[in-house]
Amino acid sequence: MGLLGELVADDEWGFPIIKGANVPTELEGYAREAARACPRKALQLVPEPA
Amino acid sequence: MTMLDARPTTARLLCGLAGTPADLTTHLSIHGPLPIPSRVSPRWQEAVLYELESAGLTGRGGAGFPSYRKMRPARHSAGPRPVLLVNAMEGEPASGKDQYLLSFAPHLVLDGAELVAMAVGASTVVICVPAERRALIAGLQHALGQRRSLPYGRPNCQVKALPGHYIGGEESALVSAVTGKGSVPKFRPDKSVGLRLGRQPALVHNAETLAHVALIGRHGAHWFRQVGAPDAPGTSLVTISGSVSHPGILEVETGLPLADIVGAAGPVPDVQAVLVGGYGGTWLSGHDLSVPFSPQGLRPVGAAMGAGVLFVLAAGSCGLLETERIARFLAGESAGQCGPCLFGLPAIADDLALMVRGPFQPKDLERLRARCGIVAGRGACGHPDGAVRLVNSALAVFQGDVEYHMQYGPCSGCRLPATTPVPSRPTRKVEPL
Repeated sequence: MGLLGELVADDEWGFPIIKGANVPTELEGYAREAARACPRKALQLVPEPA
Repeated sequence: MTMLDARPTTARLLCGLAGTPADLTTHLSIHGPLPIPSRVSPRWQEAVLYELESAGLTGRGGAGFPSYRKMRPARHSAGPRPVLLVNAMEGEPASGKDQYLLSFAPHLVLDGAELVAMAVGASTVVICVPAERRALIAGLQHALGQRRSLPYGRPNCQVKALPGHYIGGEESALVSAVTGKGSVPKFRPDKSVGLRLGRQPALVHNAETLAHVALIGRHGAHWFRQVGAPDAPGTSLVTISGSVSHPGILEVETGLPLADIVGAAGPVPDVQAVLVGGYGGTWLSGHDLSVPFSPQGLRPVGAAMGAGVLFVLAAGSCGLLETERIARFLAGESAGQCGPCLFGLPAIADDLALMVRGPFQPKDLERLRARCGIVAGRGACGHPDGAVRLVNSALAVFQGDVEYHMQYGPCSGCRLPATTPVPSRPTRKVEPL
């Protein structure tokens, strides 16, 4: 998954493994695109708990 | 492991039961009437919830969550009245306590269900059972018929027969099944957000939990807390099976040493290990059974009370063979919703199969450990986490067998048939959702 390689890797079945759960502001746009692009809807972007 | 002369059981739920279903008359002669006022007031409702909070009753379905904490939000929910779902799905093959209660003491479960329903203002009680348990369903309908003579205004109660999948008892999967969408768990990062059946809030409680409510309603919180561990007071039902002379359902005070509970079922002299909680639970070595059967007692050894399953493995058996059998079953029960579970659990079962029959090498063990590491925590529900917990505990407790298998191939225990109960047919066809 080249789209967000800093934060997300692939497992052996092609599903995303979160390397870093906290998304820095500068990567937020890429993170949204990655979540939208996942064909299995396996990625979610959630707001940080207060 | 110590053996006791007397069975350390405490008869509360199982009091007065004599091998046949207790009809309403028998039930009332054992336990007395359930004190329900002729008119249910908000003050009465609050008093019931307060009593359940003081009693410290925790769920007996597996999660051990404080029961009153789900009831309060249901009572105070705005909008349509809640529905109470009685969870009697009992998908664990090695667990029989909920079926036992519903078959032999249905009125205890129904008393508790009606009490909770009235306390939270629920319009309906839906008793959820697997469709294949036809005799149980018939018995339940019969018991409901007997209750028409009760003097208080009762909520509408109905029995719902559902497909009996392993994960069918998971709360959100149960609600999904009742709405006709199949047993599919929901991703719930925040469990304080309640479940809904259509527009109605859905409150789910395990059958045994509700049976305890029926007795707390009669005898009070102080009585309930007189026995058991402080973090999970009262008694709990366990299902003991495996290498024991007296398998079956026992009612025990929580906090008793596990050795004493297992001892009550007549285990073989040389217990190798005990599987605690359920098929997503933890193997404990036969040397580590002095731990108290309570949340606090079991947590330090990575175990939990779970669904009260206790499977006893004798010295001559192969724990890896049994674990492979269970792991294969768990893989077949995936809802097919999440990749790591759908693909990871069969892969882990394959690794275990290779370990059992050989040739199994250190690199294969590394691969198995790595797969366990990346599968847990990556599903919408706890199903893959349970499978990984089981496998990791097997690798620890049966470490000697792992090394033996790597060096020499199958051990003598592998010649014996596996005995952990698994259904002969899969309950669902596993494919991606």
